[in-house]
Amino acid sequence: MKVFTTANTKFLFKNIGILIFYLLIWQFAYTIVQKDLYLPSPWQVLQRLAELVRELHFWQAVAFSMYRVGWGIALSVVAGVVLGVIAGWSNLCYNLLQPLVTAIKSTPVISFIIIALIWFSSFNAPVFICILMCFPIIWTNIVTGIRQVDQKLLEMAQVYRVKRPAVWHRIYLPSLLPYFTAAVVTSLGLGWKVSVAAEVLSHPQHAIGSQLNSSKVYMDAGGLFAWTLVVIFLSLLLEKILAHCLNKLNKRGSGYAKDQD
Amino acid sequence: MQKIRINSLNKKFQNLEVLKDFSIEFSGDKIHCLFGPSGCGKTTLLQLISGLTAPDRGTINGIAGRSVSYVFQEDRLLPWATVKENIMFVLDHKATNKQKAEQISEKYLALVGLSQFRHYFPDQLSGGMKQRVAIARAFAYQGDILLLDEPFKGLDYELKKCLMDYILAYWRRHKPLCLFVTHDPDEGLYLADTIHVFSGPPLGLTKQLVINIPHQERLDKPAEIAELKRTLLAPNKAMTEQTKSRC
Repeated sequence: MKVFTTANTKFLFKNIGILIFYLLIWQFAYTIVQKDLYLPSPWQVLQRLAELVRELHFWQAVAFSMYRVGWGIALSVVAGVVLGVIAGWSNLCYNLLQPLVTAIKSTPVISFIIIALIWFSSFNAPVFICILMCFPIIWTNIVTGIRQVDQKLLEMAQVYRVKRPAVWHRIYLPSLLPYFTAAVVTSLGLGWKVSVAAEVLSHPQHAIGSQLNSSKVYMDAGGLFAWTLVVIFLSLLLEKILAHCLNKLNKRGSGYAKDQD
Repeated sequence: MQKIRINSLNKKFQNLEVLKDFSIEFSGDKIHCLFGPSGCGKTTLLQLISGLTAPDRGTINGIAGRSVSYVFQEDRLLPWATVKENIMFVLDHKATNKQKAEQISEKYLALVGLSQFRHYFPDQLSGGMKQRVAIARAFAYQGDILLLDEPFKGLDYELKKCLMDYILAYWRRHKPLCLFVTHDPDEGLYLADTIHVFSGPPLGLTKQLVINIPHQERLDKPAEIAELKRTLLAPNKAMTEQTKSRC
C-alpha cells in the first residue's frame, strides 16, 4: 500500500512539473509577443476563467454543450451498433452502407456544418454533426469486430449445439467489446470537438461554441483561451469517466475481474 | 449402438479433391483410430461426420439425431471464460438447470484432474491443461459420437498416457462411438479397437487392423503390440507410391 502511494505521489509530481514547464513557455512567449490581443498571459486567462465560473451562463453553456454531445454520441452508438451488427452479418447491407460511410468520412466537416445549419435548428445542428462524425467510426469498428470473431469458436458452439442467445452472449459480445470500447473513446474525443465547432457557426443560445464566437466578436482573447481550456478539460474529464465505465464493462464482459483461487 | 456408414462421399476444396467416392463403415461402441499422414483428409472426414462441413455428394448414415462431442486439434476454449464456465457453456441446453450443469462440470473436471483450476482462465493454463479442459468439455457433453482430432499433439508421453487413460475410462462407461485421428502409431495401438490406415488426398483406405487385446492388458504384452506395429507400419504398395509422390 505504501509503495502504491509513493508511486502515485511521484506520478503527480511529474505531471505538475510538466504543467509548470509549459506554463513557463507560455509566459515566456507572452513576454516576447507583448500583445494581449494575440496572446494573453496565463495569469490573465486564469483570471478570466475565474470570472466565467461565477456566472450562470457559463454553467448553462457547459451543461447544454455536454447534453448535445451526449445525445450525439448516444445516437451514434445505437445506430452504429445496430447497423454494424446487421452489416457484419449481411453482405448486402454492408455493400449498401459501406459507400455511404466512406462518403461521410471523406466529406469536410465544414460542408456538413453548413448543410446542418440549413436543415436543422441551431440547437440540433451540433447533434447532427456529432452523429455524422461518430457513427462511421462506431459502425466500422463493429463491422470489423463481427468479422474478426473467431470462426473456430463458432464452429465449436455449432458442434455442441449451443443456442443463439448463448453464442451471442459468450462469443460475439466478448469479441466485440474491445472494438466497441475503442470506437466509443475515439468518438467521444472527436464528437466533442466537432460539436463545439458546429456551435461556433450555429450559435445556439447556450453553448460553449457560441461563447467562443462571442469572444471572437468582442476581441476577448482571454475569454477565447479560457473557453478553450474549458473544452480541453471537459474533453479529458469525459474521456476519463467513459474509459472508467467501459473498463468496468470490459472486465465484466470478459470475466477477468473475478479473483482467482 | 448404431454404426456410421459413409457412402461414396465427395468433397472438394477449391481444386483439391479431398474425398472422392469414399466409403467406409464404423461399427458402434468401438474406438476407431484414423491413421495416416498429415493432410490426407482425416480432419475433413471428422468435419463431415460432425456436420460442420457439408459433402458435395454422397451420404452419411447413422449421424442424424445423434449428438457429437468434438475435441479439436486446438483447444478452442473461450479465452474470456473460466475453465468451469467453458465446460458449462456446452451444457447450456442439455442440463435442465444450472445446478445440474455445475455438477456435471465438476465431475468431469475432477476426472481430468483440474478441479482446483476451475476458476482459472485459459491463458493461465499450460497447453496440456487446456487440452484436458477441451477433453473434459467433450466428456461433459456426453455426445453419442466422440470425435478426437489429434488431441495429444505436442504433449509429452506422461501426459499423453494419462489423457488416453481418461478417454478409456470415459469410453468404458458411456460407450460412445469414438473416432480418433492420429499419426502416432503408439497412440493408435494403445487406444483403438480398429486402426484404419489411410492415404491421400483423395482419402483412401489402405489397411484395417483389428486389435483384439483388451485395453488394460496392452502394456503387459509388448511383443504382440510390437508385432501389430510392424504390420501397421509395413510398407504398402499404394502407400509407398503416395509417399514417393510426396517427397
